Amino acid sequence: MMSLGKLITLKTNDNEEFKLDKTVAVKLEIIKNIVQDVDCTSNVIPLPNIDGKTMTKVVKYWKKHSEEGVTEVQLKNFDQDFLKMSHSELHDVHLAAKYLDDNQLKEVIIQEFLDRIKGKPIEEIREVFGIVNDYTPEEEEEVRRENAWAFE
Amino acid sequence: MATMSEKDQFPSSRGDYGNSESWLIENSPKKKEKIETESDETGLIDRISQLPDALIVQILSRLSITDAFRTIILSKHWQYFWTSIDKLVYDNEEFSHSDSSMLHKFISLTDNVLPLLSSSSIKKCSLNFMFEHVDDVSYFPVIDKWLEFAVNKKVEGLCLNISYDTDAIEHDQPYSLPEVFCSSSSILKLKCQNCRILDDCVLNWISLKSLTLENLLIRDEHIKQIMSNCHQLESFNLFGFCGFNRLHMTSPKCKRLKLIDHYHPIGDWYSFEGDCCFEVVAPYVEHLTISGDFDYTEIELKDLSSLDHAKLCLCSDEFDSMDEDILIDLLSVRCANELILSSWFIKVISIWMMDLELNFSLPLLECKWLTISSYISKVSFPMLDKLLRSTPNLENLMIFPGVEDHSIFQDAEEYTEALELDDLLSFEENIFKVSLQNLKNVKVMPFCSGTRTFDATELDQFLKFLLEHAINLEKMVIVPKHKGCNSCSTNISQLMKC
Repeated sequence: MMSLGKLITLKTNDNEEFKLDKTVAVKLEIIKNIVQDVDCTSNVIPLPNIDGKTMTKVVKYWKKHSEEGVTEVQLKNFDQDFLKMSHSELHDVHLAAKYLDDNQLKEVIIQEFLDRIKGKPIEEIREVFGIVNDYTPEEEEEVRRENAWAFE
Repeated sequence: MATMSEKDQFPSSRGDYGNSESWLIENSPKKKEKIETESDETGLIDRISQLPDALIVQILSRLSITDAFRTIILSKHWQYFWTSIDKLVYDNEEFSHSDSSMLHKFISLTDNVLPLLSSSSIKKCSLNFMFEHVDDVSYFPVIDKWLEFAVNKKVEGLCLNISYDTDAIEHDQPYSLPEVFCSSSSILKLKCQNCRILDDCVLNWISLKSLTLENLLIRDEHIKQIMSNCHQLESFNLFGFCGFNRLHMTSPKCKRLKLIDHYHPIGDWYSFEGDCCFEVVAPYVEHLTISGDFDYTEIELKDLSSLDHAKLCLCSDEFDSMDEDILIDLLSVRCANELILSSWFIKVISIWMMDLELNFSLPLLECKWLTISSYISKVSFPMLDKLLRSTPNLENLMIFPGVEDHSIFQDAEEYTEALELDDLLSFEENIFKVSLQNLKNVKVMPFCSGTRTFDATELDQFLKFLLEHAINLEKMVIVPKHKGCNSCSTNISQLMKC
């Protein structure tokens, strides 16, 4: 068991260190479990699958969401700004959340991806997300015709 | 003596780094713009196609089933993704409900898509189907078919909301749950709105863990079936319910019970007459919530010997219909840990206590956490006094006013003034004289009126009392309701002075 210090340090694969207040950290099931599992003498927890840039974002999210007295409106505004990142950054945060077993953060990211797709016309989804349309115009026309019930 | 750290006294300075930064972003549109451009630039080389397949399937699983299907047109690579989705979302919200041709389109879309799905099991299915009865066609057989499909795919979570607008004709009945569905062995979580459980239908969900029934008539037999057949049930929630007199929660695993709003929806309800009264026997329940409207309803709480957490936020417009003894019974729940009380509850008992001139006492309560979800009014003082006297183990007290609280007490204040209670003064001399040995933490969110200036006197007095009598108080936190709100900060600075 590690000693009961006030701070817990999370160390990413590019050797960036994040000091988390223990009161913030133990509110998170994930960290609590890691703390219990990892048998180390120092308070440093290695995170081999996460880089510093991504971890900065995750820690920012955790901090805000464990703030005392924070209101739902404030969290909503925070999330909105927090999610303003590119798809690949979003994906990185999703992977980190997955590794850290943070279901709430995972859910937020998937929902953001969903919002970026939902209700958009097909052409716009392609454009926004840079999906290369490898159908020939004839092929695309055929898919549309065959499934006219969906594309009317 | 109570100790207050500087940090606790000045909540406006509590913001840490993350906090002030987000404030900065919220208030500077320029910075916002910049962020957007940045992500646009990176967006050029950023492709969602590079996401792992599993994540794409997860995302598509959340789209409505027809929207998910439409993604086949994106590229050849995307043709098969949608067939692996393990959550089905049918939602005809996007279609106009009164237009029957649109409804038929929704039905044919769904009928076309279902057979194409390749996944052998479905985790979640949500069917939100709304329509107007404009023609004579019944859509119920179609819903039967979809539900059967979900049951055959071993659906685990199901959310069902079938509602239709119709002229209230007496024989018009809501959608009846099909038999095959009522005996599904795969369902773990079920939420059912605006449906009907036929009298001869046997509820037999052997794996079910969480059950929520909303706007549904539920008979005593159904409760019995649920309790004897659903051994895995952990949480039972009823919203907008009526129809039974006995709620005997005999299943040992079922530790959560929520009862919200008692009322009579369409259908069978017309035939349901008689008094609405029911008893709750729940020796295994640890978490109990009773909230919402309980007009003309009597609730009798019996065995609640395992109760740990109770939230009593009910109200009844016809106050007289709810026997005072019942209210006191409700308040006497032997709740081991946490008790949450709402404005209405506190107001009614307070007024009643005044009428009785204080000739009653509450039984001792064991709870350590007490949340008073109510505006603090003079009217409520005697009641709060009783409450604190009867909770000797109290360690944490939280006071959060609700939005409509102020008006609730305004009426009550006028009422007490009209009573012209001579005793009121002697009242005030005698109350709040109890010492609170165990109280360690107090958290208050003052009332925010927006424009009106807050009259903090009552809350002042109450906090002053707490500071004087809670001899072991460790922390008192006053949280503003809105950050940067003038009214909030004025209120708080007023409280600080006391």
